[in-house]
Amino acid sequence: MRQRIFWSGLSLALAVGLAVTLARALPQNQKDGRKIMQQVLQGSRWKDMTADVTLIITNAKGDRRIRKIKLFSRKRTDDESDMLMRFIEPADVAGTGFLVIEHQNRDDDRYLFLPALRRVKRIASSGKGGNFMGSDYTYYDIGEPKLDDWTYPSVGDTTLDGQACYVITALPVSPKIARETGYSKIVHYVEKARMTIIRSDYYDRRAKLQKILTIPEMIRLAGIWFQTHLIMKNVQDNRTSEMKFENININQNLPKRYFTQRYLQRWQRR
Amino acid sequence: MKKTLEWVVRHPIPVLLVLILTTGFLGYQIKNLKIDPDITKSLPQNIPAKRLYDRMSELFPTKEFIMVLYKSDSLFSVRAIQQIDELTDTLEEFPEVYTVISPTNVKIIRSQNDGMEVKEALEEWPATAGDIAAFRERLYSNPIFIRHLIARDEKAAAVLLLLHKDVDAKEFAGRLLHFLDEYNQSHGTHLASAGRPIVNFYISEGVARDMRVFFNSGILLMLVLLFFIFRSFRGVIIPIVVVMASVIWTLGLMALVGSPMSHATGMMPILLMAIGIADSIHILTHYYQKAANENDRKRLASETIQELWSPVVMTSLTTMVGFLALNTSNHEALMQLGIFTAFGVFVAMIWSLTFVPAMLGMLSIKTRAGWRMEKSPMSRRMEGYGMLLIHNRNLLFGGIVVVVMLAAAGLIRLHVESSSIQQFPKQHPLRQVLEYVNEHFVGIQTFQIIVEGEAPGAIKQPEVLAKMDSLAQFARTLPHVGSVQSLADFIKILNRAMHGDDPKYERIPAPVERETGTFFVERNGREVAIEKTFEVPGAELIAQYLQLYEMSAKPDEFAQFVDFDYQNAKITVFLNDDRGSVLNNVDRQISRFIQQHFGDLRADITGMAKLLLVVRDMVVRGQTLSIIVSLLLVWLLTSFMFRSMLLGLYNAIPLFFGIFLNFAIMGWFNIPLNVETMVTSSVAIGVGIDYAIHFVHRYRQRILAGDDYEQAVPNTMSTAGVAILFNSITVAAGFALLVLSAFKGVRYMGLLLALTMITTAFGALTIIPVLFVKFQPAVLKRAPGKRQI
Repeated sequence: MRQRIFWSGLSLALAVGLAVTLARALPQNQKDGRKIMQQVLQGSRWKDMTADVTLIITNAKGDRRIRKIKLFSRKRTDDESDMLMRFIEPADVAGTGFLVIEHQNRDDDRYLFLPALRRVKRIASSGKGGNFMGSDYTYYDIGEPKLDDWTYPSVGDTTLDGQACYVITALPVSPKIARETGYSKIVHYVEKARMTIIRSDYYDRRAKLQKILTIPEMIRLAGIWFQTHLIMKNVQDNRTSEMKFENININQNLPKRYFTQRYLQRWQRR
Repeated sequence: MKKTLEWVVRHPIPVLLVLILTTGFLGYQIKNLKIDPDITKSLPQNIPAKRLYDRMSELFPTKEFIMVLYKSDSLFSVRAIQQIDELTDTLEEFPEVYTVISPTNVKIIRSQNDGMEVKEALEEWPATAGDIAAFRERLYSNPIFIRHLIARDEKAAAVLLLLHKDVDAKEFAGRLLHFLDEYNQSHGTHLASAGRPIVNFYISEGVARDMRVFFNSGILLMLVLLFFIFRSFRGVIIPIVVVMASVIWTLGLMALVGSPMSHATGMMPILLMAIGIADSIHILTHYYQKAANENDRKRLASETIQELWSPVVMTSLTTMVGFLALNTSNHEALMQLGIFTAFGVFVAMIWSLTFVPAMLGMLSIKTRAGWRMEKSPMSRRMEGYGMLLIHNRNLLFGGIVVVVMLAAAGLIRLHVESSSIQQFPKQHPLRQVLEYVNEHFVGIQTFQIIVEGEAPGAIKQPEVLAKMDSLAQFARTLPHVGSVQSLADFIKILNRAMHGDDPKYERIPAPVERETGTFFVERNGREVAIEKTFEVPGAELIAQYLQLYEMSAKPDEFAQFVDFDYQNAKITVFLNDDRGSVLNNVDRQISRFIQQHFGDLRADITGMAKLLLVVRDMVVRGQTLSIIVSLLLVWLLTSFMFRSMLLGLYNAIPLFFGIFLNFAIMGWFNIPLNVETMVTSSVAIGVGIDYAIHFVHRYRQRILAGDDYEQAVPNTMSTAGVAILFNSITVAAGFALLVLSAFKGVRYMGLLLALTMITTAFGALTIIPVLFVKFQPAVLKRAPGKRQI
């Protein structure tokens, strides 16, 4: 009995000591939310990737819409990406292609290929461009994170699913950002061990919780963490949008021509 | 019965205690009483349009909408556009609002040289006249929404709030109105609002106001009348207590069983006051007449009630029958009006038979000079009237025939019409907004056509969309249709935008389309692009257009038009007129079109407009039945009372006369038949029969006492005649209070009811005696059975 108290006392002391040492070891501003987010971003930096994506939208009544997409993506610059999506299912839209060229300082270029017309059309849409495929992910949610759009006034600690986490509150830097993103606040849970986001809570402009993103699954590829299962639950409308990634390959030096209108158009009916 | 009444007079304290405790209990329940003016909510499920309406609520996320009007003389100005945009944002924040469609956020699909653009109409606040012109031009390029959003005279813009289906729309409307008032004050704007929930809110306000006004003015009128008749404290207080008790018990019962007040049941308190007071007046009159010859208060009370209980019961029963006949209408609000008013009449009867004698038995006897009925100046005057009748009976008979013929001519002019807008007086703010909206926007009254596919994806088929489109195009040609919205319109716009804005392509793709596009082929070991024409199923084009739109759509962007798996679609027809005749025409033409052109594709009409039509038909059809049923029942009841089918028939004659005249006057004065006015005849039968019963009863007593047919007339007039006259004037005055209502229909009803009381009383005091003298029915001379009253 006495021994057990001794040992637990010791381990507590050790743990506290370790924590203090660690905290000292980290630079003082490490507790800064922006720095943490930057570190998270750094940890998921891949050059390019391909994957088979399944998007499952489930509405409040439990009806589902399932889409299968072949995804190609690459970082064109540090904070701009290119992305090509080719729809596999459902059958009546098979072959539809969607090419997005991101721009930091102006609206993204978006091109669409409709196999029924065999034409590429440029699609212009407002600002950050609404939701992706009628799901609960906005283009902003799935795009390259833009750290400068947010301030990080507070960082806390908590435990989520047994994992020690930072709790980082992000607030829009301006009313314009709030308007464009539709969020008044995002709370990120960053798992300390892997330095990856495992949950984000999105608050709408009325400051009410709107969506919860959870990431139950990730894999480590070439030294970076890759999220393979994302669940976005819209708690207001009781709808869920899931994304599952399979057959992921990263950093294969995808050719530039994959992200051109010509390649978008190169699709043959099977 | 005799013994019970005797017991009541001898033991007033327990009787009063029971009555007071019950009143306390039921009165306490009234705090739970709700007002719900939505007459379509309680429609029975066996009506197909109602079932479909409920199914529509399951399939689609929103069914009610509210328009918020932004009024400005310079709508296309920097300031106005900014304010509309800010308002859009503000209104989006109400949790009850499913989505907001406004001139600034509406999606505009436009073709560009190398593609197309799907953008909100306003991306950034305009700064220059050029920006404003561009914004206006973009807005006008959206044919689906423009007339929903911008008034024809460009003096108002509308922000449409689509409400979540599970919110209490009426309650939200109240809060929104309050919010808009405050917004106007703080922002200097001129916001107004319209829409079904707003109308319902104002109707409930009107019902609540009516009940207050009716109650107060009813009590005031009773005070004056009772004081005028009896000039005594007890003569005023006792009848008022009886009437209040019957109102309280009835409202309490409604609250207890969870029945809400509608604008039909809203008039119940006044009906109860007018009807319920009659019995106690009758009893008190008799009491005072006997008081001079009696010195034992208990015996006086007991004898009074012993002599009067059977006419009190009988008249109450006939009145209840008249109201219960409203049940044949199958219309919930009317059935409730019928049932609860019948209950109230029953309560008034119970109080008249218990409370009144119990009280009278406790009070010391006070005699009133001039209350020996036969000697009063009024009875002498009525006697004179009786004599006059006998001498001029042929002239009178002829006069009545002429009146009836004139009335018959009026019947031809009768028409059915209903409109919730026209219920409100012209100067009512809501009516003004609604009239503006109906003139300058697409209108707020809607039909919905639900197209039900056989399998998921059915709505994406070209054949189905083509039918939906042809229906929409047809509906747009109908009078008073302001707009038709369907998924087909989006497909047409997308088809055009994807074909270089060529107007030829503003159509639903055919089942097989020829398109020209780019293919890649190997040539000399190199890949080259060539243009080729090929065939493609229209269904694929449609699926891909929808996918294209969805690329950047909000979840449920199309939810108002099609369900999640594209099996069921909703076409909405907006009308700028809510008169029943207009709705009826559109309803018929659309259903004929569906029958002729839709083949085995299933499509049915529902929506608020359809439900209003159903209610109207139910009421009109049910009313004819309820008149027949109640006349028959009253005839049977009086036949039983008088033990003679023939005398029963005589009793019914003044009713025929009164109802006939009622409808004739509606015809002549162009008062349309609708839910409210239709109730008049049921009430008239239930209440009007009393006059005939009183008269026939007393007349027969005179005949049995030895009068001949002529002598009996003035002798009856001097007693029953006076009572009938007083009674009908009192009741008519009570009904006339309904003209204080906030609603036109109820006002008409008040006038018609008052008039019908006069005509049925006139029938009893004129037609019956004339006929008796003319035909001298032998049955009057036969001694009645033992239980005869």
